[in-house]
Amino acid sequence: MQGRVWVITKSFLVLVCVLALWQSIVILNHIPPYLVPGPGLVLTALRDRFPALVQSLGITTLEAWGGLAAAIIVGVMVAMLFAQWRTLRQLMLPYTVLLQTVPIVAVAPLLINWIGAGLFAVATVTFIICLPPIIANTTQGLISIDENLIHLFLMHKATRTQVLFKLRFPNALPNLFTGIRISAGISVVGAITGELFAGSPRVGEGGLGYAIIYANNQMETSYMFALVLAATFLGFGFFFLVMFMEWLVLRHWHESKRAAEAE
Amino acid sequence: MSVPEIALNRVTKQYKTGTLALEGVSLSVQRGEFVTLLGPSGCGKSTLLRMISGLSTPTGGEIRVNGMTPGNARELMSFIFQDPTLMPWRTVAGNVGLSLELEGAARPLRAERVSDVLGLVGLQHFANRYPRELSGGMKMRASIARALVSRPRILLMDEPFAALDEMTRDRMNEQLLRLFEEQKWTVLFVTHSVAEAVFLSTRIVILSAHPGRIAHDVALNLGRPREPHLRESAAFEQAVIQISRLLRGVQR
Repeated sequence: MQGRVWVITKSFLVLVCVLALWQSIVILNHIPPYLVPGPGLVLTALRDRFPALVQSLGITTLEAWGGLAAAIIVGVMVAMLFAQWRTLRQLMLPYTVLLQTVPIVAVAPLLINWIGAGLFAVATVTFIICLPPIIANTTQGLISIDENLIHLFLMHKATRTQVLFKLRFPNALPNLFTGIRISAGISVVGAITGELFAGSPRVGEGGLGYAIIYANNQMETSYMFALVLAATFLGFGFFFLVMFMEWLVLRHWHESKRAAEAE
Repeated sequence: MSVPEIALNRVTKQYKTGTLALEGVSLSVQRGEFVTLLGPSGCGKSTLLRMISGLSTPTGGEIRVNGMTPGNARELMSFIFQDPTLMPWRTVAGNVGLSLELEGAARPLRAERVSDVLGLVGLQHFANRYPRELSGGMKMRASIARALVSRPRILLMDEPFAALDEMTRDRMNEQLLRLFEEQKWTVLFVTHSVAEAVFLSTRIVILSAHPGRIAHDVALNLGRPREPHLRESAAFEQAVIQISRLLRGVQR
């Protein structure tokens, strides 16, 4: 326990050192604040513009969560279809991989043309990039079943539906969470990228990505730093939330999960 | 003579690759027998077991289980694998109750039968544990309980104790025998261990490999019930020596 406190203290000291170094470099080199503001100015911007920042953070969170949630729902359904029909899987799985390699930055303007700028467009961008990892991982889990377990189910005359929901789906849960973890990480990036193009239907209101562009145009560099900080915080939050859900669902059973914790 | 519990008539199995796994295997197992299949690897012991269970079909010959095709006789049989193959997301009780659940048995009946078989294998206090909390021997006992919950008449066991350490294996053998003597099953057992085969069986069938054929069919008269100290008797040693010789003969 004492060791743990010491580790946290050390990490905190590193942060303090980095901030001090940052501030001193800015002061000693007379760097103008519109290029690189010191940590003090960033904190001030954070405090002064806090309501606007929280609003932007909320919008981005909504877009990222919305896109991710839709990707999970659609991805699991697609994976289930793939698991049930081998031919369909062989025909379609390569295209889901292709979907992953589509440069989303290039597609975003198209999406705006189709569905208009705003929250929904950004969530769609997030959905598109979150979908492939969910499909690929879940499909893998649904089809990688211990042969003996399949035999056991068949010997007891299990129906296809029983095999799917009592065997394949629970078996795929660890894979599903691997997919969600990957997608959660990129969902925030996706939402912010989406906002750079389709951030807001109205001037002055939008998520973090939109606000970053806006602040950049206004040369409000310290607020930009604060926004980047918020985006990082958001990504972190997503990651921990997914980890917690994974722990909640898999804590009883998955052995490799425990091995991962030990690493 | 009554209808044999398991009857194989000139059963042949050729894989799609062309390999002949089993050729002209005829075997008749009476109700209440404990028959062990011994033989070098590649002699098709496991293939034979899987065909009897109905999971695979012979390419020639005929299999009858209590006079029926294996597919129609599934309710009579339970299969026990080499690995416990428990589902890690279910508790011991959840794993053991699987077959009843698949058949749509009512919850109270399920709970009662599950607790009965858990008692039988000595896992009554572990019903709500998850597989990863159990030792290797306990997992195997859970796996056996899962096979017993559907009240089979025939047990097909494919090297069930191969992955266990010797002490656990001996103990499992003794527990299995005690249950066998109580429950009057017919057992078809596959193993690589001569001592295990002799200790458990009423009959040992030795197969030769490439293709798998029955080389010897030896009845053992070691009496029942069998106690652990049987392993130290002269008759036991004699039987082990005899079987080992026969096994060496087919491996040449």
